[in-house]
Amino acid sequence: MPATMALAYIPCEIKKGMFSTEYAVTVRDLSGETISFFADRGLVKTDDRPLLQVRFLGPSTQPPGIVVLLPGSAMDADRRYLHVREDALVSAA
Amino acid sequence: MILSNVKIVEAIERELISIAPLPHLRPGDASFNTSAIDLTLGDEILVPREGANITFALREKFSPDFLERNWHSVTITEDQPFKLKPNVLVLGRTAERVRFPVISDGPTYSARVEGRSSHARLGLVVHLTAPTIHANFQGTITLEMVNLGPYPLELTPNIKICQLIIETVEGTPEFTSSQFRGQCAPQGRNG
Repeated sequence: MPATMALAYIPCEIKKGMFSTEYAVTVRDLSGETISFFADRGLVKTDDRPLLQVRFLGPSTQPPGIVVLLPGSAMDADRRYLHVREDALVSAA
Repeated sequence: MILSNVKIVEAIERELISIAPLPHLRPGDASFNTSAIDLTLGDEILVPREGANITFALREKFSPDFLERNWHSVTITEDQPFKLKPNVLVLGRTAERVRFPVISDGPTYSARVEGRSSHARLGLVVHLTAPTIHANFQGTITLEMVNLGPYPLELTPNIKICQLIIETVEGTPEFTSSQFRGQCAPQGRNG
């Protein structure tokens, strides 16, 4: 198996998506800005609180936190990464 | 570099990309062209609600709620195809799920969705302005379908609807600054 970037999860809000196989997902940046996009339901854990599957990119210093790669492009910001607080990251293990 | 059918099969077999389900994983199979792979239409079509007097101001923040509210889902079958009238936009999805992981120590791929030439002659467009499947994408591919032809076209599930042209991404993608390059595990470890 090739070495892909580590999987992790971040908290998100979910609503019904357009297709039956997707959710409308909203995540929050460190700055408080919200970003919304559609994500496949297989990328969201709904056991307890909703968690979105992301890829861990690394720590950031400006602003201090963690940078993660989103599974799709944010439709209102055309960006694919997000700064989150370190303690917001949930291990995929 | 565009992948040949042989290289596409190799990439799937090495788990560098994933496209599933496929009836057969052979370069000579009917799903494969010399440098592309055909994908099929899923059974869900999204149709704009008729009669709604709506204007969306593009300066406004994108709202998934807006789209969810103003489109409805139709399930299509062999017996109940969707009749796509001229000059109407609907959304569909491929039946196949694809995955293009970013691989820290190996080749990474992205892809472009293209229509099929036979359908193009009938006026069918299957994507609008957003043909690229970026590295790290995972899921089914959304198709923005418009009939620009003179007569209605019937959409049934599992018809070959588009082709995927797969290309290598040179180098490891950098998403923010160079400090993250090569990192693939928490705490900045390579792993």
